[in-house]
Amino acid sequence: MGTIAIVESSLLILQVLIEMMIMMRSVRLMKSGENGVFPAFFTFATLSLLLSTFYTVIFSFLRPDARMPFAVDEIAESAMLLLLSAGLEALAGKDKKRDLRAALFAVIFMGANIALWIVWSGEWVQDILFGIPYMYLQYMLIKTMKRTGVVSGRERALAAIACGALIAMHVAQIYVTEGIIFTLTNVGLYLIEFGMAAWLFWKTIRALRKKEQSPQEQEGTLALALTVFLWTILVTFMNDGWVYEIALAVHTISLPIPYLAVKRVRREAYDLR
Amino acid sequence: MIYAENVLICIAVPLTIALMFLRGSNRRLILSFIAGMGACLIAAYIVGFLMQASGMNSEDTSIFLSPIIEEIMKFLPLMFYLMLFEPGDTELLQAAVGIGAGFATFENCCYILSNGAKSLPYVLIRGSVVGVMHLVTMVALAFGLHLLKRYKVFTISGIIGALSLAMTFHATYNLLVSEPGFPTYVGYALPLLTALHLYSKTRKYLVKE
Repeated sequence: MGTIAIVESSLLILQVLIEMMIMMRSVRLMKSGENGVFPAFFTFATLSLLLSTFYTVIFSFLRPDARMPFAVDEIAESAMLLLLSAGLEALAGKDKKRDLRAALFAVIFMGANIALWIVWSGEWVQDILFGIPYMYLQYMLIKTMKRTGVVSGRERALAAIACGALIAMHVAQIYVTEGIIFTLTNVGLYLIEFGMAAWLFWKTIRALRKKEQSPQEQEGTLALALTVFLWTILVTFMNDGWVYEIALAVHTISLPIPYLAVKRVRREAYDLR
Repeated sequence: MIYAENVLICIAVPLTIALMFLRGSNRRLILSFIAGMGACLIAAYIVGFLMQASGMNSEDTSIFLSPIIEEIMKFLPLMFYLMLFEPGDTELLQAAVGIGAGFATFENCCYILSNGAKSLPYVLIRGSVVGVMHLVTMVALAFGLHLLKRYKVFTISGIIGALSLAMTFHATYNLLVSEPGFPTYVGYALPLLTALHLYSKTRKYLVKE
């Protein structure tokens, strides 16, 4: 077992432990009923994530040299994403208005991501199938962030430009695999991937530290926290080697953030609609 | 070599005749039990076909493909019942238990008939663990669907989410029992412990009902 594999296994075991703790706390939130319906979906989503990580850990220990032909852990990951989306739908209540711009962005950005995954892994059906829940959750998150005004129009525009640049640089790296351009794009990619993660972390923590929040702000903070979580997952998919391990560590740090945001959403956030 | 259809007929015919003399919840349970056995047979056909088509060996098929197909096949009759008859929560749980028990019974019968019974303890362990595993996934699925209905978010994303949870649980069990020794014992313990936990929950839930 190499150093990278040991680091990866340690991080995954740490994730299992963190997810178990989050789930236990989330069950308490669900039972108390003070935070509305979202904790129920969050608990099941955390259970899915826990099962997914647990499956990955036992697979890597029991069959270290085998490659998964059909990734069962990805099914659990999809379950998590779908349950979170269902929870956001419940939170939105009767507000079923569609947001065409958010949908367009989610389809284009996640579509480009799926295309990159296919280029990197060569698995068409699997990547398309498991990419769709990411697309849907992203749409729900953008829609919620826009509606609640937790991210300004200028910030949204900048984030969209950064996402576009990220995809363009990844595409460039398919054709340019060495030399100065490759190094420059690599630096650019790390800056955008981790810079965006740092910005989202900062925004979420700032929102979480605010003492008095309106129901709308609570909902917006939740969407922000889930965006941090989703973004760190996407960053792990975009890297390999040591950078992947760093991204995995960042993702591990992001795990408790959605729970903290779920705790902030009070029952009144649902009763408004 | 056995013919699974013959086994199905042998078990299903007496049960079908018994239906004429039963009413209400008993009839529902027997019907869902037969549906579970039918789902198991169809799942076996599909898994067999996919195994041939993908060129996977039997071990890989049981780890990667079987959980997905089997859970979908168990889910379909439950969903059919839910959509068509709009049952209450107790009725839904009863149907889920029947489907899970029927599926496990038929799978156990075919497995023991084709592979032979090594010893009585083996048959007991195999019977109880597989039975419990199929029941656990179905009860959890029924709970998931109940939750979606209760919170009025009975949407496709929620339904697929609940189904995927059952699939992953099943796949984890299959992966663990595929490796002899300690992982197998962990695999056996997983559904048993979950069943005990779910039992305590369903008891409270049924008492409330």
